[in-house]
Amino acid sequence: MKTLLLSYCKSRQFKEQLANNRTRLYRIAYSWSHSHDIADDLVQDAMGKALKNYKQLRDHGALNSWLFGILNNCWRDYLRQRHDFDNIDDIVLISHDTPDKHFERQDLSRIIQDHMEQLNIGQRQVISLVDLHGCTYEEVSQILSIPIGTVMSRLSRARKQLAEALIEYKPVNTVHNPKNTLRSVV
Amino acid sequence: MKNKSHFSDEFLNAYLDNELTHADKIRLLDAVREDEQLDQRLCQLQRVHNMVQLAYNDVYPTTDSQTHRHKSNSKITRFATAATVLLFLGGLGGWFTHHYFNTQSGLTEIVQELHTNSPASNTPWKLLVQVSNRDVRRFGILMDETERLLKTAAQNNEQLTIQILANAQGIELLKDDQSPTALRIKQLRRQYNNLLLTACGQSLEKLRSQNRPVPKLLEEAHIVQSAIQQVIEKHRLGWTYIKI
Repeated sequence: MKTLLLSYCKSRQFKEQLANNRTRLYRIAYSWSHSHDIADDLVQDAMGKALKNYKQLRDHGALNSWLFGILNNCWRDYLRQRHDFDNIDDIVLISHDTPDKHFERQDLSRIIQDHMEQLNIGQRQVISLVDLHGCTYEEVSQILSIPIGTVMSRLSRARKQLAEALIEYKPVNTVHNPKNTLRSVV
Repeated sequence: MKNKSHFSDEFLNAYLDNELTHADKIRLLDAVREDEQLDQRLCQLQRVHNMVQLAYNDVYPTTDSQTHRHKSNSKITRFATAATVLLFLGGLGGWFTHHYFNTQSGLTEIVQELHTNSPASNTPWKLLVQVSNRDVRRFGILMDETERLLKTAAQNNEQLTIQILANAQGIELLKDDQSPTALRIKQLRRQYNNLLLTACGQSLEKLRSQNRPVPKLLEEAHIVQSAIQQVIEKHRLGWTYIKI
């Protein structure tokens, strides 16, 4: 009976944790695919697999990394189906700048997302995991199964490319100046 | 140190992402104080970091999945309710322990959502079971559990009412045909009049509006206006609710 209760509670706890992570997973999936439909499918697929295999998760502290790892596998499966002969790290999803789309670019978010689309997928995955989810380099390395050095170089190239593309845009209250942070308070 | 080439972009990113050692952070900040270009590079990278966050701040799932619908007060409440119902099941005549090895995987796997008002052992227990999918295996487990509960309650002279509420694809459960499930439900219904069968009217209406075949339901099944309304109403009346 006790075993059953523990098993049941663990299962319930896991489902709750999974539900709590859904928006986070979705945000990452969307940042990779830039499509609500694909992001929905990816997250559903990833959550289904997570539910099916949750007993494989031994360290619940590593839940996020584990989930993002599953999401990454789903994403790779998706890309494999779509691009059988391409190296997925080299794929650049071009943003087709139609007049309609031009009108949609009313806000900075859309502009930034458009520039994110210009990054290759490998870079986009890394920057989204680090900037959106706050993953450490080691976590990203585990999630994407790439060396930490590759994480750093992809992140560096991604940020540099975005910095050059977005130089004319200045979001309000987001500029960080280390000098300004080193002030004394009396 | 004043030359920006001393610090690579990777190094600056590592600082922004809190990946540097304390000593390296100090080294970089000392350099930043004396090197405006380095300061600007750092600011530029920080700005990109902030902008990426901004870009996806308002991105939320567009559809509601079953998992997402799992609303609950807190983990503790969930555990408490789960434990309460399972203990209650265990208290119903000891059948649970007896059949433990046969049922534990099924029971723990099929329950998706559970709410109870922690009934005392001497009060009548009313259980609402919502079925929303047409998984035959789940139907089988549900029938097993229902039959055991009804049987044990009858043996122990317990007051128990079980209402099965079928909606969406779960409507198949109440289809009037010659399937083993239908025959079993009919038999159970004949045997226990404290087993109620209900189907969601909205789900049937949806099938009609989509010009899809509407199954003929068992004559024992009653059609309620909507599953959600039933769940809310029964919950308000103190019923225990399980969704599978």
